[in-house]
Amino acid sequence: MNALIMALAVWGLIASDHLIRKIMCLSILESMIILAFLSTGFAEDCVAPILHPSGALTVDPVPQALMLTAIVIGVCFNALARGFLVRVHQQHGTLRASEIHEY
Amino acid sequence: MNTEHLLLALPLIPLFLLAISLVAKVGFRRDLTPLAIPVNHVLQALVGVGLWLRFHSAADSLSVPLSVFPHPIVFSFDRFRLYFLAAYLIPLLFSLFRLRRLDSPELRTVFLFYLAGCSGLLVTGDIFNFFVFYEMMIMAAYVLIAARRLFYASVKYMLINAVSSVLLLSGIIVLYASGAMFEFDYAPSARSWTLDNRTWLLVFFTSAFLVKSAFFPASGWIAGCHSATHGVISAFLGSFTVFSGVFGLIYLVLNPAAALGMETPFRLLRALSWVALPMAALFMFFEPEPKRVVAGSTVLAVGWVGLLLASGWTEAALIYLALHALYKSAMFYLLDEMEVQALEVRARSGTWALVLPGILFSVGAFPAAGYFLKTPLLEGGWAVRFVFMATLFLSTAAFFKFRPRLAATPKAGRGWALPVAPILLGATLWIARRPGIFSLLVEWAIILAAAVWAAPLFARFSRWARLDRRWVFGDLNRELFYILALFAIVLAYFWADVGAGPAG
Repeated sequence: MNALIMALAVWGLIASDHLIRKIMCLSILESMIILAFLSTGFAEDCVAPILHPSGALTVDPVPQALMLTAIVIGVCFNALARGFLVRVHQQHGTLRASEIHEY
Repeated sequence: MNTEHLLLALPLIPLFLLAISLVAKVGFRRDLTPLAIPVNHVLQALVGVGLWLRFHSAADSLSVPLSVFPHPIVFSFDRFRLYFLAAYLIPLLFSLFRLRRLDSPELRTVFLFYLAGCSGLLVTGDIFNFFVFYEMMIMAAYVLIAARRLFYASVKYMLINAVSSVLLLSGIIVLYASGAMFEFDYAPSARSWTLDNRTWLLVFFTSAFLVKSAFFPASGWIAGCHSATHGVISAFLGSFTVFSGVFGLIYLVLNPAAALGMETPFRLLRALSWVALPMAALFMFFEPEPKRVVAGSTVLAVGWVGLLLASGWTEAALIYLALHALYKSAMFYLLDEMEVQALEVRARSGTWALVLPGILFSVGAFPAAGYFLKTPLLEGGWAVRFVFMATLFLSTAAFFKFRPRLAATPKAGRGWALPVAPILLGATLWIARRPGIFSLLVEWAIILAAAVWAAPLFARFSRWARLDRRWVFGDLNRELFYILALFAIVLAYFWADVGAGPAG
């Protein structure tokens, strides 16, 4: 399912002409990558490390800790991208990549 | 202060000055960035000298984990990173002459953030730390590219680098899933992994760093994005940021592949580089603006570096990379002093005197110091020499198609040219290996032919101006498609060469 959504996101990123849709597809792709990383640390019948004392079976906390960084980076990227897209629309009057011609 | 402190100091200096500037701005309404940036440059230059003294003749590398817990943040340095350090310090010191171009406190603050990302990248010793510092650098670069209000260039840069970051993150996932590790030196552990896991890891890392390094066909963005901003930033982007992709290629692909006895990445890199060179030169020739020509020449330089790396001449590639930072920074700064109207370029005589060495460097012609590094590559047969000659002609003609004029009135800010000129001219004349006289004559005949025929040739084919946009890259949609195509090429090449049949 993860792979299917990633494939759809890649298709949307390339096929969609609208810049906001491209950013959305990129966000979906990043989310699926993060989900894939988190799933590497998952294990059946294990709990979050913070909930149980030492000795209990816990999931691997490293992917979770590291993906927090990736999520923050993704949020910053989205915020910056959308801010710039507002300016792009003000300058070019469109957000369609095929209609925006470079300086 | 010992070496470990120097490693930590390099990224911490700009971060500390950034923090002080922010506190001063928010708490006391004082803008300290005009002071913070020069202080940063001086301190980082001193740290750079310290690192050079420690590592220039060292055969070992130094790794400094910041804690004893599993998967700590690791800082690392070795002799090869000194070349990347040079590629960082050269535009850094050049920028002292042009700081007024960063004309707002916000821009200067983001610039400090960018410098922190760049310097952290130089000393990082684990892959996740590399990812974090790279994203830090590139986020700041997105803002700096938009400094001249060319927001679409920044959006394009964001999309393409985000795709490469997705590929890098995918590689990190495979690395952790296979070996529960983030170390650069994963090769010893990788011997016990399945062939599929090793292959997928190298496919993701290779694709990510080829895109970050702007290897053809993932190179359509570079001319527009690097030329969109001030020369100060363009110098950094062309000298260091693009070559951080080469950094990743060396440490995360080629070195581990060599340790594992895998030739696939080297063969792929060689093939892509030989395609990249003539294509880069062709697009340079059809660029109608000099700044885009200089920005596009970075793809040419990346091609040469790729060829040298693929041939196993890592140190030669890194020397070329450091020299490239010198002339690329100089060229971007020279362009800031030029007035361009159509194909006519006006500048002072002193500026023109520096342009010729810059052109020789850019096209890799004798006696420019980068020339001798490439001569072993040209012993590969007539096809190789033909590609080189065609590349030399087109890339030289790309510069000479512009009509030089002397500026009527001198512009301000000529002070930087005086100290730089002897360095650039001296580096131009440095010869470490004498070429054969026949090949030398042939090359100079090509350069003279390009100088004479560039303008009429461009006039004859002027309807093909911006050939990259007309013929290959078109718009952002196509450029993104080419990144996918590059990933598919890398995957297919590994699949066919390694015979793993990656089942994922």
